[in-house]
Amino acid sequence: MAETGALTRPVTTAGDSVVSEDTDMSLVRQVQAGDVAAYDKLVLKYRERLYSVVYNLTSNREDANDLTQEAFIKAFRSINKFKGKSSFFTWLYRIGVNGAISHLKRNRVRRFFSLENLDEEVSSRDIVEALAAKSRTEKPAFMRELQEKLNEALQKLSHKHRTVVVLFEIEGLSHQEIAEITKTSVGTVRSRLHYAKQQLQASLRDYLER
Amino acid sequence: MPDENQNNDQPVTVEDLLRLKRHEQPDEAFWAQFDRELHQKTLRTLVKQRPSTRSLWAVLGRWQAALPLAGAAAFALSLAVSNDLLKVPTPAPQVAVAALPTPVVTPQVQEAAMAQPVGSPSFVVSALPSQEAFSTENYRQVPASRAMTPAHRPDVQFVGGSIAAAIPHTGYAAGIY
Repeated sequence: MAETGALTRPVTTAGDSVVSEDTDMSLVRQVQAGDVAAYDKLVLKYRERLYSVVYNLTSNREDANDLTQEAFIKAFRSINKFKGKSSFFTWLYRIGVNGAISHLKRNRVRRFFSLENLDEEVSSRDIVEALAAKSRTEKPAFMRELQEKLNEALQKLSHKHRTVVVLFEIEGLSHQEIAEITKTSVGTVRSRLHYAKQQLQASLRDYLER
Repeated sequence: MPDENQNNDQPVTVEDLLRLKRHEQPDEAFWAQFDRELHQKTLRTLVKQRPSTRSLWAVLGRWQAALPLAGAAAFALSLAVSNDLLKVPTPAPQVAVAALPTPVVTPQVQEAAMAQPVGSPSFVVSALPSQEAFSTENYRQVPASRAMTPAHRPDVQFVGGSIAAAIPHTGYAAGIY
């Protein structure tokens, strides 16, 4: 399997990655020097991706909204402590992921879904067409059902396993990046990913066997 | 990167299904709201980070509940002081009364009168029951819902306060001009 399957990440090559990190570091230095407007650029660059991580960890759009904002505020407050040992996005993701997991632990009992709409484009995907064709329900109803089952399956995973799956399969980060964010080894990331996929395979068996 | 539009003959994998979650995205309106809220929170954070401002907010926050009470106490005190002044006759107001036109107290002019510049007489009844003005040669009594301090109206000396005691049949306060 490929190390990263990024669709959403703008970083596509090693060169681009270096440029992006340099730009981030330059913006961070501006913020540290008191230029608050420079932080807006960092927010604009990472808000969708950070929101997506938090949303896929919580399966709740309102919580994801609050937690993403909290992560940006926390990063802003602590930006003077950021020394650039890791990339800014790794640091920011760590804040976001830790915040989301703390929230999930605090609200273990009070859990419910509040899902984003799937965009129109997804309904024309071959995989969805194929699954919907085999289903007895109408396509829109099938789409809703599939979305709920996917989120349900993800929420059944432990926080650690869910984090790895979300970051790797949905966000397209590399094993190395995930290891940095979760402060674990690459081996641990691989192992968690393998176990999580087995769990998901069992939960989503109905769709995989169609 | 695996193609999401894969061939129908290939089996569906967990990865294929998970990749569909990339399409659960909020709309533009969401991001507009998100940016607004985040800006407000960032500004609040900036304010909190400044110690002098922080202490100001802390003091204001602590006294917030007591402000109405303090206002009421100040009003009561001003009424009490002005009531005492009413009992002391002074010749000075006789000079002032000649300089001022006779004010007409009607509910219609009361609100507008509040906004008049210093130098022209104004009278306030507000929500209190309609009262008639009562005058003598030396002073004129007008119903008022609030104290008019010398600083506020240099041409008016507010001396009344006690509703019943100061003006037996008309009202709450008396001004001596």
